[in-house]
Amino acid sequence: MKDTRSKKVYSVVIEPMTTTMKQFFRSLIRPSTLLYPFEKLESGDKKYFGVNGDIWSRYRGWITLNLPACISCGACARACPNKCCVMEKVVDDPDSITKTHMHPRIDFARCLFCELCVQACPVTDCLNMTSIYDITEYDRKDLFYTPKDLYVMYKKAKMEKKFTTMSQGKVASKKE
Amino acid sequence: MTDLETVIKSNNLFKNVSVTEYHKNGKLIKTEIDKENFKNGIKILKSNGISNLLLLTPYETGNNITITYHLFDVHNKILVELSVSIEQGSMEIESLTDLWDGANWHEREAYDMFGIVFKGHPNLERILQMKDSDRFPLRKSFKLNVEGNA
Amino acid sequence: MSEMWINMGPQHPMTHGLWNLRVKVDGERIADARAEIGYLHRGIEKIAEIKTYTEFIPLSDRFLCYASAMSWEMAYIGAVEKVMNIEIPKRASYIRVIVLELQRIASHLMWLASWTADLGLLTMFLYAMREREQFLDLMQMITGGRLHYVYMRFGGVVKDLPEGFKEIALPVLDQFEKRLRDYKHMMDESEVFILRTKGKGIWEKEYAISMGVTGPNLRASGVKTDLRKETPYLSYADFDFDIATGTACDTYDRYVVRMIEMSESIKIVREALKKLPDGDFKLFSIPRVPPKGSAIFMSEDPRGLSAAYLVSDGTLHPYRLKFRSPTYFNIQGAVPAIIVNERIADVPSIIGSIDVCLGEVDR
Ligand code: SF4
Ligand code: SF4
Repeated sequence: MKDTRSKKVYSVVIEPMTTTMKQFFRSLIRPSTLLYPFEKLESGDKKYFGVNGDIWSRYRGWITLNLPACISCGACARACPNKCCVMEKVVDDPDSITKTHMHPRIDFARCLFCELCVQACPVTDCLNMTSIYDITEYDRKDLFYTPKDLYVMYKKAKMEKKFTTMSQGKVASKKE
Repeated sequence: MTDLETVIKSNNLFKNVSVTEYHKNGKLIKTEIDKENFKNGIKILKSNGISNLLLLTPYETGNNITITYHLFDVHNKILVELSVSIEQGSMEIESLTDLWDGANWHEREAYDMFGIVFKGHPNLERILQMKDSDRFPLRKSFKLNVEGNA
Repeated sequence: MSEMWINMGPQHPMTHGLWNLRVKVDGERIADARAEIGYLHRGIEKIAEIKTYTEFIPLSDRFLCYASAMSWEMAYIGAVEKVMNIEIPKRASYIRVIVLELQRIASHLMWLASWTADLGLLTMFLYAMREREQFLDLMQMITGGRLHYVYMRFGGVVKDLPEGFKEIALPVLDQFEKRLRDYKHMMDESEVFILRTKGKGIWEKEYAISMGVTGPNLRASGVKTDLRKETPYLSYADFDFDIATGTACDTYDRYVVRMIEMSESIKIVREALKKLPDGDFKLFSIPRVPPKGSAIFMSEDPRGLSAAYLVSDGTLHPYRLKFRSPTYFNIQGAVPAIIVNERIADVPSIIGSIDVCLGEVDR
């Protein structure tokens, strides 16, 4: 009788308390959560709970377009599963160098971030995926990105070095 | 109990029998049966070890509707693919709910999507769509009208 | 005592999605129950008919179960490959096994988290969610997505495993294996947990089989069946693992089976990472469209036996694509059989223990 009771004291009181304290101190050193809008998970960040590797190098985030590199082939628009990536005529833009001036525009409100358009693009460093994950808008119309907007995003992503490896090496290359 | 494969091969209710594997060690027996002998055929299969109805897939083939029953023997891992063809005009076939309770929702879904009437089903009503819907969306005559899609 | 019908759902903490469980109560006891589904129906089988084969890959993991997207991608792609009649390279099938088993662990952890939250064990909920995060990180490393992977392609996978993945994944698995033991110990020591799960929600073996119940739920009812072991697809024949079975057919056994399955999955991943052969991760010469024909691909989903049946007419679009979702039949078999005569307060725990995912029920 006494034996079981002391076992109970251990299993009901002492063991849970130790676990709780262990978790408490661990979370001071390496928290499991973060205060999202104020703190953001960045690539190379090892402070938070998670695996100890570069988890961002293949991330499928916001899509950007390097407008001068685009050859207006339309492969991206054909590959898109729900046709949110559609070719559009760009007028009066010195960056558009092709004859037809047709470049993809993307309706991000309907985009799946499936990367099929990026993989279809034959030009290296043209249509890219980035590790930017938190662009939000109040109006769904603001998620409609024209080729020019996508080029603005490209320049921003290039400055912050946000491109994922997928953008450089295309799928056909066997090993990274 | 004799081997399911020999039973199917020796019985002339089952036509066009072919035996392959769906995975390693898993036997897949494909066969066809007439609508008239359908229930008897299933009863023979059941008494020879088939334990449940795995999948019921109706699809249109020209003027007919082919219903493919996948029947599974859980213990011996034998899968029987049984096809029955019914005419678009009389969309009726016997229900299997008296053999397996599990056939209930299979048949309700087939009714919901194709309008096939299962005779002897205890409560044949729509299951996924709204109860007052009058559409049978998986028929080819039902066209999706989606913007931007071919 | 007067009887009355109560709607648990469509918006109810118990449902984990949108469905309506109508229960007829007699005092505290459940006298009868009925399930009403269809609130999440999106018509995936029809949508497949207007998409091309490649375009449907991203949809196959979004439209079906969002907690185990990878296994649905596998079911769809497996069916297409069967019609194409192609054999994938060894390395590709090893990589598929790795991602599928990581997905199984993540999915079971998701189940553990939501189920323990139903039971009121919020500590376990937080722990399970935290562990799941690590597996999602691993998946993100491989595929670039956290829930929707779009990783598999006809003939293999889209990219090889990242360099150094083994060194990163093995410590995570070791750590998780240790913690899993702790968690199981923690749950089993909890008297309340035992009282609420043992002997509740009995699922008779014969009944479960005839209703088409599969997966961990059937194994907990004492049927030793697992497609991975008995009819090995991909490279599962190369790995050494056990099938967990229960005997009591109750809620507690369903929990135990899933806990053991997680540790078996760890074993598989570890072995696959060690044995990973060299070679191509994708077959590069595949037909553009599948030829005329039909095929069924069955696989062992975290929730049960899933299957995709494809009828191809040789055009760019699938002629008919049918999915067998295990939860659809698990719910059919569960309501009302396993909740009748239980107390109404136990309904969330019993229904939670069958691992409901409405995305794949309603399709
Ligand atoms: S990521 Fe997918 S859905 Fe989005 S634009 Fe590209 S192809 Fe279309
Ligand atoms: S973005 Fe790439 S795929 Fe699309 S039109 Fe330009 S070059 Fe072609």
